[in-house]
Formats: sequence, structure tokens, C-alpha cells
Amino acid sequence: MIRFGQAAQGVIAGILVMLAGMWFFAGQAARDVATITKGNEVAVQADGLGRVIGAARLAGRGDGELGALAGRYLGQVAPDAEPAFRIVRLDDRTLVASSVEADLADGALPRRLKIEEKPLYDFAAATRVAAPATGLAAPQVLGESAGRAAATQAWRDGTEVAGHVEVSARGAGEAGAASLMSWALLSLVGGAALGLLMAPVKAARARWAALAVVAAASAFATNTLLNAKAQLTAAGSAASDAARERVQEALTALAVGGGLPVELAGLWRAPPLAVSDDLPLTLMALTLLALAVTAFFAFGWAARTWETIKTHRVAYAYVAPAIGLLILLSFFPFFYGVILSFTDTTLLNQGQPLAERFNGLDNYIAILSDTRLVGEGGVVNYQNFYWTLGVTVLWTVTNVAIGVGVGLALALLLNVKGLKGVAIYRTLLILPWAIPNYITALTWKGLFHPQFGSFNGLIQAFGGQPVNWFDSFWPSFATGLATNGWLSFPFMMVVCLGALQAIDEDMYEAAKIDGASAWQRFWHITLPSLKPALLPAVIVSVVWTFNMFNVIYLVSAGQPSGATEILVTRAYKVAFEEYRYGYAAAYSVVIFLILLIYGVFQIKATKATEASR
Amino acid sequence: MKGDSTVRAPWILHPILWIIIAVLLYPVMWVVALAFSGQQSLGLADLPANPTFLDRLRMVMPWPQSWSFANFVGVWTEQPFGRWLWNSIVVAGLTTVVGVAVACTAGYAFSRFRFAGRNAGMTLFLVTQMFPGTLMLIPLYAIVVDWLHLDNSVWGLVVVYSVTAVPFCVWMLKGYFDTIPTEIEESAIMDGCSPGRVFFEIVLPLAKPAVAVTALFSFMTAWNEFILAATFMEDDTRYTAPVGLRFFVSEFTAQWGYFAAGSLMVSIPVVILFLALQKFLVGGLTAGGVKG
Repeated sequence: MIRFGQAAQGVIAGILVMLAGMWFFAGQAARDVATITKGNEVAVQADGLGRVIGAARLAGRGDGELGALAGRYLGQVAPDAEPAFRIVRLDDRTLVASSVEADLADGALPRRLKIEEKPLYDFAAATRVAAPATGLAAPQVLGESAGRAAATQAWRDGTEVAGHVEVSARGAGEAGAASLMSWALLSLVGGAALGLLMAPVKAARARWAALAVVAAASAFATNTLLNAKAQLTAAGSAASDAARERVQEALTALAVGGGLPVELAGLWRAPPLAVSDDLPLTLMALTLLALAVTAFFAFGWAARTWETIKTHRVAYAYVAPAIGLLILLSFFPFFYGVILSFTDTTLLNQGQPLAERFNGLDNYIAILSDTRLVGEGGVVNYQNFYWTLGVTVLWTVTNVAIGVGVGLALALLLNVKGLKGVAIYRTLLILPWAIPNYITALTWKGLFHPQFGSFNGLIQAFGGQPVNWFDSFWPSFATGLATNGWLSFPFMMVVCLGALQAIDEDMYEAAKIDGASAWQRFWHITLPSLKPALLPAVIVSVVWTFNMFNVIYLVSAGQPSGATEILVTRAYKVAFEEYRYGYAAAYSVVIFLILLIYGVFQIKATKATEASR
Repeated sequence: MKGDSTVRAPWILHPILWIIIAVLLYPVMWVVALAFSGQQSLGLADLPANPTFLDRLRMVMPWPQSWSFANFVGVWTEQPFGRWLWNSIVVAGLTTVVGVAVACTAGYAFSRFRFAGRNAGMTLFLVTQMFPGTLMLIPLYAIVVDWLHLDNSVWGLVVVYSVTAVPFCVWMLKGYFDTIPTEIEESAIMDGCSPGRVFFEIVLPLAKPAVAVTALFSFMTAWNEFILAATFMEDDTRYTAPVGLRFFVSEFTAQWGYFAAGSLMVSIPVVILFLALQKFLVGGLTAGGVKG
């Protein structure tokens, strides 16, 4: 049996890395080109369809005729691809017409959208949001899902944006990847063959040669791949243009021959295909990685790492499940979120390639540079980041103050010497902490009900006017404050009580003998003794309150119009009610950075106080 | 005991404390009264046409007009609450099993073995505690729903909840393992016991109290979670109890009686568990802050 030299191992490993990486990236690049080409095709078809439907409505055609019209139009622009269409109207949540098989199986059209079809409604709503005052915005490419490429465009009924049309066609699939790879593959196999020749050579001389072989093979393969990709891109651009040509012909035919005054001006034109401009850079990074792997083996580091793993294999086996779970569902989502924050990902475009969605620091700039806190006519812009930040800070500070205040007061009461039944009192007072906080939040929402809630009942009993809790900022803020104060005082009470019971009675006795008043004893003995226990409690409760999603979301829900929203609830609403995932991710990163700064500051402060003790 | 044990607190403190407790626990009493009132509206008593002061006061008193189990019966028979409660039990139970199993082994390794990457690994667990929930929510939604297709499945929630609970559990268990002397294990290994048996038959039984606390913590994490469940579970037969309870009092329905009855059933077990074990939790929660 031939014993493989370390240099040969290095070459093989490096080539394998290169091969795997290229297979992945070449495949992705080819898929991206095909997806974008296909997306452009259905997009221009959707743009045309939106115009056709708008014109048909203007000409007074009814719902029943729209389906046939759309079918004829699509048959003309793409006779062999057989695209499917959907026409959705927003106001009465109606699927006006459709040629998607699954829709047709569900009953006669037009019909109301079903609950399961909420995504369609969401698409229509998001399309309306994106539409300009007049005319149509660019059609929205939805990307491929379940093997179909789709795009949407708004349609207008008179002057109003009434809903959206969707055109979908069989996706591009995996076409092209193989042709990209064939030449690259050959060069890499050549490199690997050279590596085998090195097997018997002594490691000391061969390791540099190994690096050279891998570098040369990578360079040649990279070059081949990039050339092939350029050809593919050119073909894609030509296909996009041809698709637009056909749509234009069909629309002209409708306008001239069909008697439908379809608006022809400004028919969408696909931007020049610029897919994965970062492919050269990616391949360069891949080459470096391959070289690093080669060196890792050729210089014998791999062997040493393997030894370490073998010696500690029990420990690693014990830790592996936890670390694996953590990496998959904690670190990966975190970094994925950070990447999302540099894109303009929304519900509509999330199927598109990542490179297409990349928008640099735009989200951060939009969040942080918008300082128009007060809009026209002195109305506060509640959606402004700085308003929400201010509310959050106010929310945190007041809540922690209430928690500490009430908690400390109760702890002092319970700590009175000789008090019987402390255990019962303590248990009863701890209840608010034990009850799940969403139940508390929903309960308090009921108590604050403007019509039937207990608080207004009590106010009315004493002759007052009922308060519309959620109609203006301060009452609405107060509802959250009351709820969260109620949730958080038991924790502070328990912490204070523990610390109070640990204070040495003799200190009070000594102070009494020295003539210190009750207030002086409290200020100079009780408070300083509480500090070591209270400080960490305050530090964690600041973070809890800052992130207290449930109370705001369930009690005031940000009313009125988002005024009492805190940062985390606002981020949630941007993501799951406005469907702006990229913006919401950037918003969350900003929240994370704020907490990070707080954390660093807090560690420094704690160390300083510990040092001074 | 220090000081004079015959000192008695002023009697006036007791009525003061009872009044404070009555005021502070009003929401709890209100929910209990509503649950046993047998009706769905927010007010606990009907208002006459020209309500007097007493009528109005009667409406907010946490005492139902007539006692009835109708809400408890209705929530089981007329609403799918039993289904939701079962979903919650399954999710919380599986989370406890997965979370504790994973955390026990990791905590043990961090406590007993010295290996390359040990400190880095432990820091990793601390760092995750700083990741903001909302930032994780969007990618988690993509991973769980779009990639793993675990929407409307208990497993989607179980893995996410386990990850939430694991870092606290690992640190908690590591701290407890540190306090168990190593001599017993060493002699067992001398006697030819395999590392696996040492862990399962010697160390784990000794660490029962800590395992119990981490189990409670994992269970409560899953049992009390609302927003992830609301985001991942869209099918109403897959709701967990929190999502179901919120459903009772959402914008379009106002079944406050069902909400109250359901809330009691959801809360009572965790409240009892919490009261029994809270002294362990308090120490654990502030420990991180003390260490800085």
C-alpha cells in the first residue's frame, strides 16, 4: 500500500475544496443568470398584463371577461412557455381570475380569497404600498418557488390601485451549470493528477510545490469559469430583450386591432444582466481557502489537530450536541440577520438572489439619518427611530424605578423585626412574577378596556369621566407601565429582602447608640448594604425591560398609531406587518448595538465599583 | 438568631400588608372571579339603567354574581382548548427533554475536562444571551418555516425553545458539577468504570437538584412563550395555549370568560412549580450580572 505523503494529501484536499466551492458557486451563478432571465421575462409580461387589465377596466369590461383577455394576451407573448396568471382585487379580497390549476380546483371564479390564501392578499397589499401616485411602478420579480418563476404588477381600476396581477411560468431550473463546470473540472483533475505524482516525494521539498500546483490549477479553472459565465450572461440579456419585444407587439396589437387603448409608454425594460459581479472575488477567496487547506495538510498541522481531537474526543463528544444546536439556531440566524440588514429584502423579493437585494448601508442610513421627528403641522412622526428610542429609554427607566421603588418598600415592610407570617405575605406578593407574563398582559388589557374595564368602572363609580386609555400617548404609556410595574416588583422585592436579611443587626444597634436617626440608619447602613445585591438585579432588569415585547405588544399594541411602541415591538411590526425584512433586520442590529454598548458600559462600571470596595 | 427574639412587630402592619396585597392582587382575583362567573363579558355584574355608586362598585368587585363552572366546561367542550393545552404540554415536555439532555453533557464536559477550545466554547454560550430576539426572529422564521418546513409542527418550536434555554442550563449545571467532588468519579474510573457510566450512574444522580432546576427553567421557557409560537403556528389546531388564550380576546372576539378559565388552568401548574423552586432561580438569574 502506498503511504500518502503529506504534500500529496495537501494537493488533494486543496483541489477538493476548489472543486466543491466551484461546483457550488458556478451552479449558483448559472442559476442566478437563469433565474434573473426568467424573472425578467415574467416581469415584463406582468407589466404588460397590468396595463391590459387597467385598459380593460377603463373600457368598462367586467370581471368575467378579464380572465379570457389575460389568457389570450399571455398566449400571444409566450406561446410555448404557457405562463399562468392570477388577478387579485384587494378591496373585496377577491380572486378575480386565474389560470393556476390549484386555484381553479378550489371553486368557480371570481371568488373570495380563503384564509390559506392570505399570502396572495399580502402580495396585493404590498404591491399597493409600492405603487406610485399615478401610472405603474416597475413590476416586482418574486423569484422562484416550487419550480416556478413569478412576478407581480399592480393594476389600476380608474385612478385607484385595485390589486395585483401575477404571472408565473416554469422556472429555469438547473440549466447551464454543467456547461460552466466542464472546463474548470478538467483543469482541476489535471492538478490532482500532479498531486498524486508528489506522493512519494519527501515532505520537506514537496510542500511548496504542492502550493504551486494548487494555485496554478485554481487560476486556470477560474479563468475558464469566468469566460463561460460571460457568455451565459450575454445570452440571458438577449432573451430578456426578446421577451420585451413580444410583449410590446402584443400590446400594440391589442391597442390597434383589439380596440383596447393600452398604455404603451414606459413599458418596463429589464436592467442589463449583471449577475454576481462578485464571482471573480468569490473565486479568488476560494483559491485562498484552497491554498490554506493545502498548507494545513502539507505542513502537518492537520495531523496535529487530529491528534488533539483524538485525545479529547470524549469532551468534544459531550459538548458537540449543545454547540451544534447553538451554531445552527443561534449563531447562524444571527449572522444571517446581519447579512439581511444590508439588503432590501421584503416579502415580495425574498426569492431573488441575495446579490440582487444587496443595498449596502441604505437601511441603516434610512433609520439613523431620519431626524424629521416633527412633521408638517407639528404632528410627531411616531414611526421615527429617535421617537421610539426615546420612548424605550423612558419606558426602561420608569419601569426599573417603579420596580425598585415598590420592591424595596415591600421588602422593608416584610423585614420589620418580629413580623409573623412573612412566608405567607412573601408568597402572595411573589405571585405576579410566577404568572406567565402574556396572561398578565392580556388581563391588564381587559382591566384597561375603555368601556367595560375595571379601572374605568372605578373612575366612574367615583364620579369621574372614563378615560380612553389608548387614544393618547400618556394614558396609553401608563397602561404598559402599570402592567410591567406589576410584573417586575416581586423580583426586586425578593432581591431586596434577601439582602436586608443578611444585614448584621449589630450595625443598627451600634448606630443607635451613636445617636443616628432612623433616616440616617437607612441611608448609611441599609442602602449601602443593598447595593451589591441590587446593582446586578437592576442591570439585568434594564435589559429585560428594554426587551419586554409582550407587554407593549399585547396591552397598548403601540396605540395611538405607534406612539407607545418600543424598539423591539416596532422591529417586529416592520418585519411581520409591513413585510420589510431587510429594514427590520437593520433595525434589530441597531437595537443589538445599543444593548452591546450598554453591556460594555455596565461591565466597566461593575468592575470599577468592585475595585473601589 | 441575632437580636431580641421576643420583639413583636406593631400589629398595624398586618392590616396594612393585607390591604396592599388586596390591591396588588386585584388582577388575580378578577381573573378568578371571571373564570367562575360563567359569562363572557368583562364586567362582573350587570349595570342597571341608572347605576348608583354601589352598582358601579359592584361591577368591579372581584366576586361573580353567581358561581358557575360553565366557563371551564365550555373551554373544553366548545373550544379546542384541550388541543391547545396538549400542544403546549408536548412542546414544553420535549423542550425540557432536549434542553436538559444537551445541557447536562455540555455542562459536565465544561466542568470536568480541560480541552482546547473550552473557554471559547463557554464564552459562546454567554454571547448568545446578548442576541436580540427580534433579530433572530426573521432568520429563524426563514430557517424553521422556509427551509426545514417545520411551520405548524411542534418540532420547530421545540428546537428553537431548546436553544433559548440551553445557555442558562449549561452554565447552571456547570456551576453545580463544579461543587461535586471529583474523588468519587476518580475512584470509579480506577475500578474500571467507563466515562459514560461514570456520568450517567454517578454524576447525574448527584446533580439531581440542579437538573431539576434546569428542567423547570426549560419547561417554563417553552410553556410561557408567546411570540414565536404566534409567528410559527398559523393553523389553529396547532396553536399552543398562549396563542389560543390570546385568540379568545383578540380584536374580533371577546370571550373573556374562556380566557380567564383557560388562564387559570395554564397558570396554576407553573405557579406552583415556580413557588416551589424559585429560590434556586433567583440566584441563577443574577449570577451572570454579578460576574459581569
